Amino acid sequence: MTTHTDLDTVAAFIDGERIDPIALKRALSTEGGRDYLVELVAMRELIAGPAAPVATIAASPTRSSSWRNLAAAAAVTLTVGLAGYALGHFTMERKIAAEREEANRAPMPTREIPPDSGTTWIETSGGQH
Amino acid sequence: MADSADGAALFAEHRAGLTRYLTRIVGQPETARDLTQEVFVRVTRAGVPQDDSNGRRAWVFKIARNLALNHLRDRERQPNTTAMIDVPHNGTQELSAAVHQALAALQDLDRDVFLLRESAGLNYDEIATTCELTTDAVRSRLQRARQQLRESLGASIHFQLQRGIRLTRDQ
Repeated sequence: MTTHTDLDTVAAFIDGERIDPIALKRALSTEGGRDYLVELVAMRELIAGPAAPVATIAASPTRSSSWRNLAAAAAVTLTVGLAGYALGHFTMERKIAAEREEANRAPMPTREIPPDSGTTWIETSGGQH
Repeated sequence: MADSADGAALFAEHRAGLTRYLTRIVGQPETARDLTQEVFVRVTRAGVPQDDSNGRRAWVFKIARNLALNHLRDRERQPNTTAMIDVPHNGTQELSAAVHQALAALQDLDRDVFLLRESAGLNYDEIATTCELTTDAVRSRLQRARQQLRESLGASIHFQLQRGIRLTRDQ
């Protein structure tokens, strides 16, 4: 009959712990003790083998992440829209101002007329001779 | 406290065991390598405690264990990810998948104690220090983990016995 203590002794022996040799002899005198010894060694080899890789896969997006993505997309669209409007508005204002300045400016002379020789200029003060 | 050179030497001494242990705990070799590097950073920055070799080893593995547990906790919190085992393609992968599932079925602390013994090669006192348990509690948890694995891995153990066994040198 193999006891709990026998199994513990066998395990401690396999683990390199200091044990009572009499206890080990007693444990190995039972079939259960010997089976346990052999199985522990086999188990150790199994555990020492390569570990099964655990893959981490992405699950389907959750509702909260969908809302987050939607909100982010809306924010980007709004920002781009506002920036476009501001840029267009600014450009148009500058264009109108330039056209207005152009309209108020006097036209350049197309030809130059020299004064007649002998003409006497009399300076007057506004409409009187 | 000693300097970072001692920390680097201590890390180098236990690097293989750390990687094995962390790979088994987190299940992903790449993540285990990252965590192993993080252990290196912590060990060299913190300064090695003035202790005997067993105490130092327990200290290193305690750092590794805490990092691994934090990583697993963070992974569980991520709502968009699901952990799954790769579909096995051959006998070896089937075997390793069976081992992974059997280990996953253990109680957290039992699994930790078991892997610190089997993958990291710590002795009972070192495991007790690492997990803040008594040595008797370590024995008890080891015994329970082994009994459970013996049942869940019955077919795999039988397969291994047919291939033959070899008592490997303790890590």
